[in-house]
Amino acid sequence: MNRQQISIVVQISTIVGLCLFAWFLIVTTKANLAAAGMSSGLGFLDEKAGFDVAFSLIEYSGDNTYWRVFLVGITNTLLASVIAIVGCTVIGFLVGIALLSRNPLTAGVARVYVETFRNVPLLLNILFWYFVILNLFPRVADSFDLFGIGFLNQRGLYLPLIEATPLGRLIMLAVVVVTSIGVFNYSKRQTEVTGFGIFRTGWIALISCTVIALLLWIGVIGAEVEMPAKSRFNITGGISIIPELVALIVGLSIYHGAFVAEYVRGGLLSVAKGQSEAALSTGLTDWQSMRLVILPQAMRVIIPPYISNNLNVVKNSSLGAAIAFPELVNIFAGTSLNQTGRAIEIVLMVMAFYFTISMLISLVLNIYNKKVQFNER
Amino acid sequence: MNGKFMSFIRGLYASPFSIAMTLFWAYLAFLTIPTVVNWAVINAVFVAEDGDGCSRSGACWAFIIARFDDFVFGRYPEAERWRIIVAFGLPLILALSSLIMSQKQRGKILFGSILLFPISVLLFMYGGVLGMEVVETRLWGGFALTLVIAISSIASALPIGILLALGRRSHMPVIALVSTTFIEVARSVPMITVLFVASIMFPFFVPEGVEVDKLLRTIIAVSLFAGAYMAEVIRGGLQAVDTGQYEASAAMGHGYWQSMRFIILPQALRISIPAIVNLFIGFFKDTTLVLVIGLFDLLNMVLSATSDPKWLGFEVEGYVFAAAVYFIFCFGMGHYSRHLEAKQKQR
Repeated sequence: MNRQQISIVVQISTIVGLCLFAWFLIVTTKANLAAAGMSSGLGFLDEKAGFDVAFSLIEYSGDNTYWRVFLVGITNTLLASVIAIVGCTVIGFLVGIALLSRNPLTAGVARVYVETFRNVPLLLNILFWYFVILNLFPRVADSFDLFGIGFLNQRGLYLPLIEATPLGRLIMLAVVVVTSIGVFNYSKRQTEVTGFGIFRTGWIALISCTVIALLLWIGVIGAEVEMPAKSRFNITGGISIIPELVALIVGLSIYHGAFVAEYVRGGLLSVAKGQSEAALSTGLTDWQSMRLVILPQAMRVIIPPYISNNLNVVKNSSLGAAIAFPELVNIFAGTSLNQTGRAIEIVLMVMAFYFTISMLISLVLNIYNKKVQFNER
Repeated sequence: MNGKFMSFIRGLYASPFSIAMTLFWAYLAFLTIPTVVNWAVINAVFVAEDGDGCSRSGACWAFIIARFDDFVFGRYPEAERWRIIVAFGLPLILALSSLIMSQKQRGKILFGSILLFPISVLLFMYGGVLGMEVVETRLWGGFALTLVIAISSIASALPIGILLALGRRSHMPVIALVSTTFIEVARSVPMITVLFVASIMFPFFVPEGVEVDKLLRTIIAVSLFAGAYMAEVIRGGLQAVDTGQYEASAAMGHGYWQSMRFIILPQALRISIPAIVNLFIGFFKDTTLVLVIGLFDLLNMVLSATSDPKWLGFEVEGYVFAAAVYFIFCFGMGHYSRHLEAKQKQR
């Protein structure tokens, strides 16, 4: 046999082997399900779930179906992941820059932070914060008052609920869009005139939040603002952010922040030293040279591992299941699975969700890598 | 040394901002260090009969000391615990003996000690031979269980990863597609779902009457899962081997397997060792997730000990202890991996 024949034989036998394996799995699974008197299929998704969920962004009650539970799980997973990604990005960039600080104390503290949290399991981290919030935060009666707009106690964080009419939402969106266009234009003009851009994201957030708050206050946006109110035993109204969510977000941000810090440090070190010397000698301050010269070049090295880090955040948000935060794994692969017994369908649906997210993130990474390679000298 | 010290001091007041930071850290240290030292050392109780013997103003290390054996050995019967020490000791002695061997034999001996590990765990920890009673795996626990899961998973992930990595780079489209699909799917799902597959879905997949031990199922699942990550690490190593090596090996008349076995893989694996150690650190930390499916690893043993009625209210001590154990091991291995990496770069 020559090489090509061997190759064809190997490939065909692989296909046959895999088909046999799949056939075996299907046959035994069917037999097992039949023996247990269980049916299969996705029909259970239309059944009433009948259990409550402690926290949900979309409307949900026990009367809703398992399909709704799946959606609640997905939104909660994404909510925790997105906030944690923001958190670990902020921590990571600050600590990453601090790691290279010329002040030895700052660099030392940053190093201790990174080494401590990189080398301790994430689950332990999350469980610890959950314990701290439940036991060391004030009771409801002695809640921290957050400047009159909310409360913090061991049952969670309470913030005002803003429920806008559809028109009101449209106005808010319009404010953000108009501000963004304005800020981008201004930044462009500034760059042409002075050579410096401005911190666009920050200004957009600041201006649009102020304008929206102002419009809310004078009543242009039709919205009802429900402030949390404290009674003796409870806090009613507003939105409550449960301690499980807070612990999960804090744990994820601190853990992944340590990894992002190392990527940032690596990226900053990859920029030739002459760049910062040149930037300083043109009269830029330390901060300006970091923001305008070093960071933009370092981003090329930082972004690829940073994007895979964000994928890990989404995957690791599943650890919320260990402290009963109602994310996908907890309420769908946990409670729903126990109630319906549809292990195979449910676990496959959960895996499919994570697979989709992962593919989306890889797509973003590939597009970015292509763009960067194109720009390279 | 003196120069280093002077530049350290100079860094403290290099600029106004630097001075502000120095003062800030000094103030923070003034606030926290005395509290921590008081709690952890000065007011701490090291010897006590039970929780009542501990003070509330200091740490109760007596709790950790009293339950230390359980943290190491889990719920394994006390009279049989010497078997765990033997099971871990034999491969460890073999691995250490490699230190006095020549460089050439060292690799083989280390490889042999990894192979010996599952065998000696099966023989001594599980038992049933040489007059040793069988100790069911549901009694295994503590740090010993953490090590059993982490080491056997990574050890079996190595051959799986090599095959997947070669498969992904194969010229046969079917093989490449199958390997790539497996690697990408496994890497995109969280480890918890894989543990669920092992503990909940697996029984559906085997004919009735066949029962596979839960710990073994977990180890198999984690091995396959880790295999996907290992494949990517080894693929990196394979890519780092110079193309000339492939060509030279083919020119010598080596077939595919011969050239992989004798020329390419030895180089690729050597390059991958630091990354493999990092992978091991990751999975060592991730073994904590087995508490979700009800196995009693170190973390779960510590957590369940905190609800011991004799020792109530010492959760913080438990968390600190568990964190310290993981930290020491992961930090140590991380240093070792960086040391290996630096040594490779020198060549």
